[in-house]
Amino acid sequence: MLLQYIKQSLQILRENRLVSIVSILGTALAIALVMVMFMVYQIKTANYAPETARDRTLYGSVASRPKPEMTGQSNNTGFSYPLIKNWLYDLKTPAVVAAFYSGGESLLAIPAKQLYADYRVKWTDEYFWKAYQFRFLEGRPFTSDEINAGVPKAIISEEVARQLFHGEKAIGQIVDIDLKPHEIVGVVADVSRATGYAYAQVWATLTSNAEAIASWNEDTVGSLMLVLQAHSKKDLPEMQEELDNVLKRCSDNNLQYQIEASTYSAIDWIVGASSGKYYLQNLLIILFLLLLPALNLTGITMNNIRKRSSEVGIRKAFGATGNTLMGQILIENLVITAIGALIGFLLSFFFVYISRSFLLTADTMLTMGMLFQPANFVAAVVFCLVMNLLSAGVPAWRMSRQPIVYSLTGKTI
Amino acid sequence: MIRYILKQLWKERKSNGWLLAELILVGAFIFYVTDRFMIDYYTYFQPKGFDVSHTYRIKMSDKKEGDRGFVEQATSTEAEDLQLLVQRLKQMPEIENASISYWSCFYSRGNSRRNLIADDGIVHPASDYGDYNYRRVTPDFFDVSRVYSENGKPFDMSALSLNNAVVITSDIRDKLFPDKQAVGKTVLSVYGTDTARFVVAGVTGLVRNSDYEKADPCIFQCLTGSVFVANVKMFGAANAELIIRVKPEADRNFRADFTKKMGDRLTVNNLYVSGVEAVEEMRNSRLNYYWKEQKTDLSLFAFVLLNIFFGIIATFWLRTGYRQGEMGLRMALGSDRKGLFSLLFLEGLCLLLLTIIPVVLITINLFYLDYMDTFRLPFGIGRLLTGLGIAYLFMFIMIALGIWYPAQRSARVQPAEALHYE
Repeated sequence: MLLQYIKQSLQILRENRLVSIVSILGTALAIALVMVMFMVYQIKTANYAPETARDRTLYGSVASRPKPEMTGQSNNTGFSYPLIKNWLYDLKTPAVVAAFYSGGESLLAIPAKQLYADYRVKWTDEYFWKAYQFRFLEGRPFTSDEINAGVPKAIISEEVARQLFHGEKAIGQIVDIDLKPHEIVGVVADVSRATGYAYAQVWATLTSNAEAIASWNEDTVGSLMLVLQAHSKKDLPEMQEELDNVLKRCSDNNLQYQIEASTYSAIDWIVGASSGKYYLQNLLIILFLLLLPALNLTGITMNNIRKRSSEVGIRKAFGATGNTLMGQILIENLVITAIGALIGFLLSFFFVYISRSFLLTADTMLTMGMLFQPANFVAAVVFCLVMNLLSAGVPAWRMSRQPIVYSLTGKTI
Repeated sequence: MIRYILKQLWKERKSNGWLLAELILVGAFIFYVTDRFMIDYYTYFQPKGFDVSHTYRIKMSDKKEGDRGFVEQATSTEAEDLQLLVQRLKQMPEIENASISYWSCFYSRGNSRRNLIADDGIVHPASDYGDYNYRRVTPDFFDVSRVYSENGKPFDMSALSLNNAVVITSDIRDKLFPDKQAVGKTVLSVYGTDTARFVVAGVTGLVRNSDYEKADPCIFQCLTGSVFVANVKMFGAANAELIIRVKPEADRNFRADFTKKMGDRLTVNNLYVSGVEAVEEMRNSRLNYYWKEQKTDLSLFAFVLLNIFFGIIATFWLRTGYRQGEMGLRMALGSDRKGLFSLLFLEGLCLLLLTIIPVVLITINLFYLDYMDTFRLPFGIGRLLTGLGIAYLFMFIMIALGIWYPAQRSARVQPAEALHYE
């Protein structure tokens, strides 16, 4: 029976080529746009290298204010290195506790070669390299000894290695980062800007940068981003609780300042303060995008059904139930939407590629890992079914409810 | 004629209904997008009050212990080092002028704010104090960034060099001095329990923060003499914004050349130049947000227009298909091709006109519910009509394109053949 419907549907498609092309193209474009939206969301929130644990990672900032009856500056900013080192590295629930400082662009120089260029530098501790899965082409991450002693070391990306050394061996070379000589200990594969927490072109040892480990308010606040990675997603609340407890103890220990952390995950960052509003807004946009071609398709399906009114009448007279007929229309229409959805799905990769500069950050590198997420395929199927219901639901429902006499005489529904 | 067409549309209400729904939805959406574009462009072409072409921001850093060339015991103050660095830059042949400022550079993300009130001996309520953008700049800033006096002429430098001189934008002047006489008057600003007094040394026109934002009232405090020294001491020399204006003829590949040359020459004790960035690049990254939004909107705009086209072409194709008989009959009775063509065309047009009332109702509601941008440009009938006009022009083009092909086919049919169908 199913095969029969599909055959019939293909026949209708062949009969009226212009209309078929238009319906399929309309569906394809809508599905493509909706998929682009979904894929951008995925790129910002799904797990892929080097940020392979986005769903169980929390980022934190800290608010420090004078205790009651104390005077001093309130500050809402990053963690200080002493606070992380003395209190947070020992947390029990997280799998990894790491810290980094995003210094922005720094001047990299090899004075002997007259080479000066700005690169994006991130200043990290040793655990940063456990929190994110970088692919080392050469060398190694920073060691605890290097971090503790504040030895200036650097890890550079493949692209930077190529630009600075033109194929020469990079490991062991010295580069000045903001005029301070750093020894290169590793080269990693380029990282996409889409993984913004891990992204940099050059990573250097946190403790060799005075700005990164500067601290104020009794060592409570500084410039560091705290990374807390749980063993599994369900540990997140417990991790948060432990963090709060430790900071409370730390506050009690302080003379002047009390501190409180606020944490957020990658999804929290995208969705913002009210997740309900964000999802509702996007759902409405998706619905709008699907509704437009659906309205076109409804008009066309109505037309097609009218032509086949007598066929429907005969089938009803011979005992076909309303539900059977409704199923038939839906499945026939599904053939069109499925073809459209498939084209749209393929198109969406192309759209994401050509519009990555304005959908994501400029110069974002796209990788297979980001795009080929299982959720994308599931989403495409779901959108296709929604589209089908939107476009054929009303005609199918109305036809199945139509009295036989009308159908038989070929009257319009 | 019109009544006939309306009758025809009513008869086809089954498929026209869906098309009409789509047109209304699309009409409101296109209006929304067009309106946003209009406001963006309107704002974009207003005067900005400054000019950043050929200007660069010099980034500076402090050498710390362990850095190459760290000077253990400097004999000069930070302010002196900074001034010396500026002097050296000004002497470079390709540089026209240089200025120092804090949180003032156009298109940089930092800004500070402060209140201001006329020092007229009256006790003002707190609401009168206002909250204005506050730029701390050396007098050269006005030349470097081309911030001119209200009459379009450069400021008198000697007036700006007086102690505690401020320049205010004309919108602050209008608020503080209803008689519009501000130059030479004293103004005061309250911070906590402190009161600072300034003398208005000049008035500039409206100043905006970026190309897509509306004017932001601004106070420029002139950093000269002891005020300059105090500011550098408070905020640090390396945190200052050093902005240079390059001579237009020298502004080719300037950044690369400068970076190569700066080496040791641009180091004063522990203060050194660590990089240079064109202010126009900062502008680009600041405006990027708007450009991204515009591109997204434009994609959606194209998408919805394409959908109208698809909807119209498919509907009219089917319609002319089964109205072949009617068309034949008309031809047989003397209707010419042009007549048939315009008949179908008018049908489409009527369909479009039917959407106007609901679309206008929706758009007025959008304004009422504050979904439209009334901050940069208030609501007005002109704005509504222009937006609707543009939106309907686009929809009309799509409808015309969509009807053209099916109408062509139906008009070309031979009468005898068409009559067959009856």
